[in-house]
Parts: sequence; C-alpha cells; structure tokens
Amino acid sequence: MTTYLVKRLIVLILTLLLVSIVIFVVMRIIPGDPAQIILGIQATPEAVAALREQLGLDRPLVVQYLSWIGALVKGDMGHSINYGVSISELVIQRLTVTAPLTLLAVLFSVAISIPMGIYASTHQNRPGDYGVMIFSQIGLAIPAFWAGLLLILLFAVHLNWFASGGFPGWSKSFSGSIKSLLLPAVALGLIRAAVLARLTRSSLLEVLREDYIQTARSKGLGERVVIYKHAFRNAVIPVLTILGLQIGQLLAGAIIIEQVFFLPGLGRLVYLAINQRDLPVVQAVVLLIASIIVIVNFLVDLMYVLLDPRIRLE
Amino acid sequence: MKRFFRNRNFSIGFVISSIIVTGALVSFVYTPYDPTAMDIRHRLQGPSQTHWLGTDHYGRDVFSRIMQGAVNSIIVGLVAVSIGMGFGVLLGSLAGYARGVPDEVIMRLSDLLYGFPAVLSAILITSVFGPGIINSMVAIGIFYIPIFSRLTRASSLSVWERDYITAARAAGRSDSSTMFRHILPNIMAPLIVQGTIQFAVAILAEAGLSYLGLGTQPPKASWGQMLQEAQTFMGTSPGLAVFPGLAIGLAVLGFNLLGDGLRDTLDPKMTGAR
Repeated sequence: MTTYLVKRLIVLILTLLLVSIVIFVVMRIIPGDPAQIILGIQATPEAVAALREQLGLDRPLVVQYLSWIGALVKGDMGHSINYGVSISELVIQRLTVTAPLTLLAVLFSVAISIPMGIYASTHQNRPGDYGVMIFSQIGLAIPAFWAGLLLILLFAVHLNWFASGGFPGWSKSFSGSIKSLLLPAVALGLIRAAVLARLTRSSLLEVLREDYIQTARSKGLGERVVIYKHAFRNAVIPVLTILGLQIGQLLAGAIIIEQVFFLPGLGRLVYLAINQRDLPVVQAVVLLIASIIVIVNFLVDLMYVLLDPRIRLE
Repeated sequence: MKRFFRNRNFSIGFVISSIIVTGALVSFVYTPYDPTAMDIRHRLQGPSQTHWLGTDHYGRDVFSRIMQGAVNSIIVGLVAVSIGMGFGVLLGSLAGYARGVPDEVIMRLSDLLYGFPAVLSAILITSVFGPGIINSMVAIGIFYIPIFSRLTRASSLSVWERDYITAARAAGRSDSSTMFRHILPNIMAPLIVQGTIQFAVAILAEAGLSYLGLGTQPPKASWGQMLQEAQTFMGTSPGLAVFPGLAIGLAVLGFNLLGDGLRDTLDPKMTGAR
C-alpha cells in the first residue's frame, strides 16, 4: 500500500511539473512582447526594456520558469497586469464563488443521478427506465450555458423567483449568495447528472447479473440490502471515476456558466483576463484548474484502493 | 445498411443528423434571407410567415442564421475529429506496434492531455493565438488526439495477437503493410463510433467557445454566438435564446444517437461503455 502511494505521489508531482512546463511554454510562444502589451504601442524602447528587466523577461527561459515555479511553491502566483494586485489574492477571492458553485453542482448532480440510475437499473426496459434514458440523452446533448439561459428565462424572467444574475457577496447576504448560485449550479449539474445517471444504470445492471448477487438473494436478503449493500458498492467505482473526471469538466463549465450568470468567480476572472490580455492571470488560473484536476484524479485513484481491495492486491 | 436501420438509435440519429447536414448544405445555395443582412426596421420580431423563427436585434433572419450556423458547427466537428483521429491513430498505432519506451512515452503524454477539459484547453489556445474558427478547431482537435491514440492502441494490441496476423507476418508481409492492410481495417469500427461521438462533443465545445466570443467571429453566424447576443433581449424576445439552443441540442442529440447506433451495430461489446 505504501509503495503504491509513493509511486502514485511521484507520478502526481511529475504530472504537475509537466503541466506547468506546457502552460509556461504556451504562454511564452504567444505573439507580442508582454512588456510592450502592458505599456502600449506608444511606449519608448527604453521603457519597454526597463519593464522587461523588471518582469524578468530578459532572463533565459529556464531561469524564468524556475523562478516562477519557486514563487508558486511559496504561494506567490505573481501580479495581475490589470488589477495591479497579487494573483493569489484575486484567486482566493474568486474561489469563494467558484468552489461553492462547483460543490453545489456536484451535490445536485449526484443527488438526482444516483437515485435515477438505481431506479432505471432495477426497472430495466420499463417506462421509468426509458424516462431516465431519454433524460440522459437530452442532458448529454444540451450545452450547460443554454440550460442556464433557459433557467433564467423561466425562473427569473417569467416567474421572477430568482435574479437573472449577479452575486451579492457572502458578507452582505449569505442566503442571497446561496440563492444566486442555485440556478447556475443546477445548469452545471444537470448535464453532469445525465452522464452519471446513465453510468450508474449500466454499472449496476452489470453487477446485478453477477453470481454473488444471486447468492445474496437466495440467502433471503431483502432487495434493498442486495442493491445498496452488495450491488451498489461494487457498481460505484466507475461512477466515482467519472465523477472525479467531471470535477475538471465542471470547473471548465464554470468559466462559461459564470459568464451567463455574471458571477465574479474564477471562470469570469480568466475570461476577462483573456480579453484584457492579462496573461499572468490566465497562466496562474489555468495551472490552478489543471492542478485541481490532476489532484482530484489522484484522490479518486486512492479512493478505488479503499473501496476495492482487489486493486490493492494488484 | 439494413442492419443499421434496424437499430432505433441509429434510425433516429440518422434522420436528425441528415436534417442538420441537409440544412447546412442547402445554405450554400439558398437561405430565406441573407444571414448577415441587417434590417433595423424589422428587428426583434417574433416567428411569423415572413420570418419563420423571427429576427434578431439587427433585424437579421434567425432561421437563415441557424442554417449558416449549421455549416460552422459541421466544419468544426469534421476538422477537429480529423485532427484528433489523424494524429491519434498514428500515435496509437505506433505505441501498439513498438511497445516499450515509445509506448510508455505516448501513453503518459496521452494521460496528461486526457483528463484536461477540451473547453479549458481551447480557451487557453484561443486566448494565446487569438479567437477564431480555425484556432478553435485546432484547439478542440488537439485534445481529441489522446482519445483516439488510446483507443487505437488498445484495439490494435489485441489485433496484433490474432492468428491471421501471425500468418501474414510468417508469409513475409512487412510490418507496415500488415499495419495498413490488416490492423487498421480491423480497428475501424470503434474509431468510427468514437469519431461520431467526438463530432457531437466538438459541436458543443464550439458553441461554448463562440458564446464566449472566442470561436466563430461576427458577422458569420454561429449558434453559440447567437445565444450570447440573445441574452440581452431575453425578456422581450425569448425565441432568440431558444431556437439556436434547440439547434445545438438537436445536432448533438442526432450525432450522439448515430454514434450509439453505430456502436450497437458495429461493436456490440462497447455497448454501455459511455
């Protein structure tokens, strides 16, 4: 177990380093000089050269990379060109919107997809099963941002139950902040729920055909115990994998959804940074999202080991 | 062909995607109105006999723009899948054939790209190289490479072990010839299925990028960009936010069903894999 953990940790660190190199290189091949972009086209060559020196852009690429990584390890993500403040500060502030939004979306998608998947698998080829499959097909086909627009149209424009966008801030109004995250979380989570419901169904159907399920039934165990204690525990592994992979999709989806609902989160920060050519912010936020994805995948791998002793033995 | 149409998913998917493709093809020779022609006097009109799906805030005909948007979506899907499949099959075949170090390197790089959401990567690439349809197609395509390389490697590994491959090699056929004449034709089914599914995903990704203003640029119509423009006028013209979204949903549903149907017919072992 310890050897497995150490091996996986080494792979995790190597992956993170590789991701950081890729992002660093992509950001360096961008056409145009960042110093020139910051100062504008009317800046004198001397001013541009001075800023290049100040930003460390005149140093060799390897040195630039190492100093960037060194600072990152200490929690310093650099400075935003447009906001003039530290990126770490900006990111922490924006995470207070994106993190609860993602969490709510995950909770919503799990809360509706798992019961749907279980119901469909235990009622195979009956109307309820078809209903879940149709929901899943439609969910896979519609973009989250369109689902968001439709939710705004129904709940904000027609019924007036929710605001069509914006975020009051946690300190101003806790309930108002939760309320403003509900529609975007539903829009994000609905699409993910479609994938999870389908997967839970197919995974459970496979497990329910296994011999040990027949044995459990023939022992006289109740159907609930058979499904929840025996079948579901074994069917949940592929569901967990996809859920882990979906965290990345959710974070990426948040970039668009935050735009639809005008939420001041990480996604909107990176979107505005792209438009304003604030590349240090783009670089830091993309690396952060990529790191979250890699770390979540690592945690999912560890969870397998806890849930399925066979993997531990391998 | 009959066995495909016996599959319900394939039949429904075929009908829906045929409608979308036909609409896109017809738009090259005919659209009810010029999709980019503005008519401010008739702006924000609801659906009527003259404008079937109404007009937008510049008075442009929504139906004609949806037809033009279909062309963009299909081109993005085709190019992204071609890039992903082209490079993915090449790398996957190499990994499956060479094994050892090349296999390890290719697969670890694939793993790295695999978990990365295509939309995020596309946002990164379009932000660096500038917004536009070409950059978004390339960005989406690059992140399809690991999907196809993993699939090609996994499928080809089992084919290399078959008796008829051993027989072909024993008969003196070179490895490259074996690859092109025996391996690739035998792994086409899962590749076609995956290609159809990724085509649908590319339509979704392009819509998202265009919604953010990073994909297709105005005045050319794209479904995502139409939804972005519609958001301001949702209170007065809700149709503007509904019809382009329906077009995206239908197109993706059509190609997804087509992919599911193809999978069920060509490769029943993969059923339930998604």
